Amino acid sequence: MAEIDVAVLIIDPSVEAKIRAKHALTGDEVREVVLYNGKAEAGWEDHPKHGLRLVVKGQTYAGRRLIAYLMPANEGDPEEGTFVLKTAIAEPAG
Amino acid sequence: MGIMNVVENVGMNEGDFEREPTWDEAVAAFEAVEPVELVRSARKIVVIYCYTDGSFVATSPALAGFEVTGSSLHEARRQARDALAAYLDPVVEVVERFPDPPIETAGVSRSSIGTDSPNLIFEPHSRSGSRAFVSSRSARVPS
Repeated sequence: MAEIDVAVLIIDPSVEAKIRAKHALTGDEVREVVLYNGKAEAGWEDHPKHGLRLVVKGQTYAGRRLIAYLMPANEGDPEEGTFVLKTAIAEPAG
Repeated sequence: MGIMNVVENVGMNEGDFEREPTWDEAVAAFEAVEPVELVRSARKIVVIYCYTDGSFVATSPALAGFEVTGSSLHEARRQARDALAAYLDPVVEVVERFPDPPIETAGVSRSSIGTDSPNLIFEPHSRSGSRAFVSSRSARVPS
């Protein structure tokens, strides 16, 4: 299996506002999962519209499950390690 | 698109209009991605221990909802380590920060405060809480 290191995760305030409004998710929760959770899973998705993106699925320490969609900051070298959060989806409560 | 829609949509990105997948759709799509192993470079999180209401409490600014309590600092550290070991990637280093030594020993419910009035002694109204309101009436200056 290929390896990827998300060394830097950039979360634009507008994206944070979007995920907060749509899913009551915070950037810190996404960081928890992407940067710290040892059980998080990831995969490359070649989306027909959004292009190549890294999809990360995991849960926060508090137990919220989420899926984050990250774009490589350097399209020429997607494995360079810097990613930009595009959006994230949280499992609905209940 | 009506003029009101144009006005309401000012400042929004094109992607904001796209319907997001539901959670179930996103999970199903995730099963189809090419899996990669997440490897983390060395990073640290801070765990802060504080003494409150007779217990030691560990929290971390990096982990919302992380809070473990122990009757002793040793117990709080053990529980925090166990909880973090189950959650964190093994390469993540935990940096522990401990409370300053208490000013006075247990059983003495008064403390000296203030650098400009070193002799002023306050007796808290409540002996149970760690944060007690002190009014000026309870302040006395030793002769």
